[in-house]
Amino acid sequence: MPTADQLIAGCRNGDELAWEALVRRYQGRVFGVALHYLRDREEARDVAQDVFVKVYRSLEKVRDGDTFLAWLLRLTRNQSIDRLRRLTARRTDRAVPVEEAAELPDPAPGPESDGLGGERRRLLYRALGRLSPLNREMILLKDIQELKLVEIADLLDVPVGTVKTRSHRARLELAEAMRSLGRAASGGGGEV
Amino acid sequence: MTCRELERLLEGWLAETLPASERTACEEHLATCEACRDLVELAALADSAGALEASPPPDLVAGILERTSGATCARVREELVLLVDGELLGERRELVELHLGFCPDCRELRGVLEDLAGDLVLLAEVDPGPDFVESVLERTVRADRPRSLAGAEGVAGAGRDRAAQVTPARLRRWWKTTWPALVRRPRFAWEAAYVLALVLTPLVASADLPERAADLAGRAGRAGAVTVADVAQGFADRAGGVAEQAESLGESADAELRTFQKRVASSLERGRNDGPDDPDDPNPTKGDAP
Repeated sequence: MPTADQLIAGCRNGDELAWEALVRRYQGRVFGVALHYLRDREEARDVAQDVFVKVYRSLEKVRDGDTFLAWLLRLTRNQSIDRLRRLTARRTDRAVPVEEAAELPDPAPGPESDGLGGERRRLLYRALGRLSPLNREMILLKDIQELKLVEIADLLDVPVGTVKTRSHRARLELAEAMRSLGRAASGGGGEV
Repeated sequence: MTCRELERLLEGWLAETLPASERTACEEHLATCEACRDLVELAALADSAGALEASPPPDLVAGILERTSGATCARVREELVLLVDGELLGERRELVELHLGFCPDCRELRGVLEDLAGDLVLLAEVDPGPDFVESVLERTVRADRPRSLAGAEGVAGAGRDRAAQVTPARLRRWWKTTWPALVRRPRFAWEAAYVLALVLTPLVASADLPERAADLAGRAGRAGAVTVADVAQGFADRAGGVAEQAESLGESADAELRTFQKRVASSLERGRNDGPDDPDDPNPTKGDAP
C-alpha cells in the first residue's frame, strides 16, 4: 500500500488514481470529524466533499505525509465550524429540544461494521453526547483521531500542558458517563 | 539501652524477630524500666485483640479518612488516566494500585477507561456512503480535468461536456465554491479596477452624449418628416389619378346607359307598331313567359 507521501507526490504529478486512493484512504476520517461537529450526515457529507475539493485545488500547498493527517483534520475542523456557525445563524429561531442536544446520533451504517458491538457503540455515542463541547472535541482529536498533543496544541492554539490536562479530564468524564449509562442500562441504578 | 531505643525495636520484640544481641539488650532494659514493661504489655494486648478479629470493619478506613484527609477517590481518579496509559511509575503507581485494591468504584472506572482506549479508535472513520468518492472525483478530477490533470486532448471534450451539463445545481456549486475563491485571490482588486476603468472611460469621454443624441434625433425627425410628406404626396397623386380614371369610367357608363335607354325606347316603339316579341326585351313579364 502506498504511503501518504507517495500518494501526495502522485497527486502533484497529475495521477488521478493516486488522488482517488487518497480520497478513499481519508474519507472516513474526514467525514467522521465533520459528523462529530455537525451531527448531521448530509451537512457532514457536504463539508467532507468541500474539504477534498479544497485539498485538490491546493495540492501544491499540501504538507508532506507525516503531517498530512493533522493538516487535513485541521482543515476539516475549520470547515465544520464555519458551516456550524452558518447553520446556527440560520436556525436561531428554531428551538432545539434538550434531548436532541444531549444525544449524539450514532452515525454507523451497520451495528457490527467495525468490530464495535451495536449496543456498545450506541452507549459510547450517548456518553459522548453528555460531554461538554470542549471535552468532546478533546476526545475526538486525542483519542478518536489519535493526534499528538503537539498537533492538538497547534490546532487549538493552546499550550501542550493544557491539552494534556483537558484530555485527561475529558477521558475521565467520558468514562464516568459510560459507567453511569452502563449501570442504568443493566438496571443497576445510578444516574441516567 | 534507652526507652526511645526500646520503642524503636518494639515491633521486632513483639514479632520475635530481633537478633539475639538486641533481644538481650531489650530484656535488660525491661527488667529495670516499669514504664517500658507497661508499654510492652499494652502492645501484646492490642496484638492479641487484632488477631481475634478476622478483619477491621469495612468502613473503618473510610470513616477515618473522612475525618482526616478526606476521601482519596477524587485524587486517585486524577491519576487513573496516567495509570491506564502506563505513565504512572514507581511509588505513586503502587499507592494508586493499593487504593484500587480496596475501592471497587475506582476499580470499575479503571476498567471502563481501559475499554475506552480500544473503543474510541474504532470511531475514527465513519462511512460517508457508497457514492462519496464518486462525488468528490466528479467535483475535482473530472471537473478540472482540462486545467490540471488531463492532457490537451481532453480539453475540448471536457469543455463540451461541461457546457452541455450546465445545470442550476452546478451553477449553485460554482457560486458557492469557485466564486468565493476568485474573490479571495490577491489579484481580484486589480482585476476589478481594470474592468471598472474599461467601463467608465467611454462614459466619461462622451459626457455630451445626451446633447449629441438630441441633435441626431432632431435631424432624424426632420428627415423623417420630409420623407413622410413625399410619400403622402405620392399617395395623393396616385389617388387623383384613380379619381380621374373613375370619373372617365363614370362618363363612359353614362353614355352607355343613355345609348341603351334610346335603344329600348326605339324597340318599344317598334313593338307597338309591328308585333308582340322582341329578342332584346329585358323585361319578359309581358306576353308568353318561358
